[in-house]
Amino acid sequence: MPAGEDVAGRLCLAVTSSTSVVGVAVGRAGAPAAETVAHEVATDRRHAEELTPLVARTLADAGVTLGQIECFAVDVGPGRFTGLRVGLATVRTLALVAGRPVVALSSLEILAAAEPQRPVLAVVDARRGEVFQQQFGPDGPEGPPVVGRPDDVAPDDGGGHPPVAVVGDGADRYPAWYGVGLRPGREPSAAVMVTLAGHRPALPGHLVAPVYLREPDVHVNVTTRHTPR
Amino acid sequence: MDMTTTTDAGPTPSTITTTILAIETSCDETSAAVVRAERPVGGPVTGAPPRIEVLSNVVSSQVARHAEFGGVVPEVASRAHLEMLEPVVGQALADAGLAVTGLGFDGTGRRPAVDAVAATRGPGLIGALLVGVSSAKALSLAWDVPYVGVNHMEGHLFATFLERPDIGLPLVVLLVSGGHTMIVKVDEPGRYRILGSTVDDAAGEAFDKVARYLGLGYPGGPIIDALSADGDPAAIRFPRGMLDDGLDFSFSGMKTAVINYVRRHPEATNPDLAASFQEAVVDVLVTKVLRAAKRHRAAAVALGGGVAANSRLRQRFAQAAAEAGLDHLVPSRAYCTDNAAMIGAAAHWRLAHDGATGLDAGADPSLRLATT
Repeated sequence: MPAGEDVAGRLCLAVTSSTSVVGVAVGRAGAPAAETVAHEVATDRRHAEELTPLVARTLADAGVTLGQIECFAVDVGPGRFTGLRVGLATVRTLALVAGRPVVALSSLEILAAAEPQRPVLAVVDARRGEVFQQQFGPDGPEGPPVVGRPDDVAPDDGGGHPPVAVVGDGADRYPAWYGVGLRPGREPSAAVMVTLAGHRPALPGHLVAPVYLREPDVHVNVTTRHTPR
Repeated sequence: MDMTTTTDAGPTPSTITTTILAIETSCDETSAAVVRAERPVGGPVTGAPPRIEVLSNVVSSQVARHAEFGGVVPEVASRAHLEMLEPVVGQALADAGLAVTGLGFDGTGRRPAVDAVAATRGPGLIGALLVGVSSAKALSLAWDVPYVGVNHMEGHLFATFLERPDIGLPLVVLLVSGGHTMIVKVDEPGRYRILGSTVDDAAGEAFDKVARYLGLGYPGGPIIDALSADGDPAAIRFPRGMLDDGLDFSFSGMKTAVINYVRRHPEATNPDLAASFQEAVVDVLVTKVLRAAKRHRAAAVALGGGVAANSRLRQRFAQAAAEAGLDHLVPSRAYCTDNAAMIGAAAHWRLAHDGATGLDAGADPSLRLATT
C-alpha cells in the first residue's frame, strides 16, 4: 500500500452512496462535522440521478468551486454494489480531472466514527438476508469486516468485548439480533467523512477501489452435446 | 479552448465545430471516443446526417472475463467497467491529441478541447450503464460542458452515418446483436420506425446458445463464423424461422432444431452444424431486411450491431442488396460491435436537436428507440 498523503486542513469534498442515502459534504479535512456544509438525499435506486446535482448544490452552498477542492473522500463500501460504483466513478473522475488525491473510507468505519461509545458494532444491510459487519474499539477496528447472516455474525456468543453501541442500517433491519433504539446513525454521514479524511492517508484516485466483500453472483448452467443425459 | 468557430466570410461565424467525448459501457465493452463535427450556426437543425470525424475510438473488451461463464455476467461487467473506464477515456483523449499529461487529464481542473461529454444511457445492463453515465456527468460538471445521454440503439443507427453521411434516405437498417434483432426505417436522423423485431431470442443470443451447446466456447458468433469456413452450409437444412411471415424474427426454434438434430445425429460434425445453422440465420436476416426495404421503398440498406461482423451475413447482404439495385453499407467491423464513436455521432445530433441532458438523468436498462 502506498504511503499516501496527509490532507489535514485541506478543502475536502466527501461523497457517500453505499446505502439508501446519497450524501455530499464540503469542509476542511479533519474539521468537526458541524463545520462542514453537508446535504443528504434518501433514495432507493436513484443514486446516479441524485449524486451529480447534489455535488453541485453542496459546492454552491459552501461557496466554493470544484477547482478549489484540494482533496476528496469517498465511501468505498461495503454496501450496495451499484451505489458504490456511482460514488467511485464520480469521485475518481472528479479527482483525476482536478489532479487531487482521494481518501478511501469504509462505510463501516464512517458509521462507527459517528458514535462516541466504544466498542461499537457497525452493521450495513447486505441484502439477501445478510449484513456487512465490523466492530471498533478504542484503538480502531477489532478484526476485519465480515459478511454473513445476522444469526451467524451477530455477537451473541460472549466472545470478545460485547458492543455497547450498534450503528447502521443493517442493525435497523435485524432488531432481533442487534437490539433497537441504540443508534443515532443509520447511514454513513458525508460530514463525518470530512472529519475522518484529516486522519487518513489520501491516494491517487485510480488506486481507490470498491470493497465488495462478495464475489459476483454467477449461475453457470450449461448443457452441451457432450453432457450425459 | 471554447467552442471553436470558423469564419467563412467576414466577422459572422458560419459553422460551429463541436468536439465530443463519448463513453459506452452498456454491455461488455468499455469504450471511449472523441468525435468532431460541424453544424451551421443559428439555422435550424436539418434532416441531413452530420459529417462526423472520428478522432479516436478506444474499445476494451471484457470477453475474456466472461468466457468462463459462457455469457455476459452483469456484476462482472459492471466491476470491469469501473476498472477500465479511466484508462480507456485517457487513451481516447490521448489518441485524439487532446491529452496534456499522463492519462489525458491535465490534473489542474482545466479541460481539454472538448465541448460536450456523452454517455450511453440505455438500453443495457443497469450497473454497467451507470458507471459510464456517472463518470460522464462528473466530467461535465468538472469541465463545465454539456452532458448528453444517448440511446444505444440510436448510436448503432448513427454508425451508418460515420462511414456514409451521404447514404440514401429513407434508409432501412438491420440491427443484429447479442441483445437485439430489429429492422429500423430511418427517414432522417431522429425519425425512426421499427419495422420488425425478434419475438424471442436475439440472433447473437442464438449463436451463443448453439456454440455453447456444441461446446465451442464463447462468444458464439465469431467462433461459429470461423468454424463455418470448414463446413458445408447445405449439409443440413435447418428450419428458417418465420421466413415467410412478415418482418419479425424468431430464432429460438432454430436453436432448438440444432440441438434436436445433434441428438438424432451424433455423428454430425461441428463445422457442418455451424455452417448450416449460420446459413439458416443469414437466410432469414437477409430475406427480411430486403423485404422491408422493398415494402417501405427504401433508398438504401445497411447493417449494424455485433452480428453484422459475421462474414457470411456481410457477403450475402452485400450481394442481395446489389442484386436489388439498392445503395447499401456494410460497415467496418469496428463500427458494428459496440463502440463509443457511434455514441458520439448520435450525441452530436441530439445535442444540436434537443440540447443538453440534465445532470439529474440516470440510466434506463430497457430504454426504447423513440419512434415516429
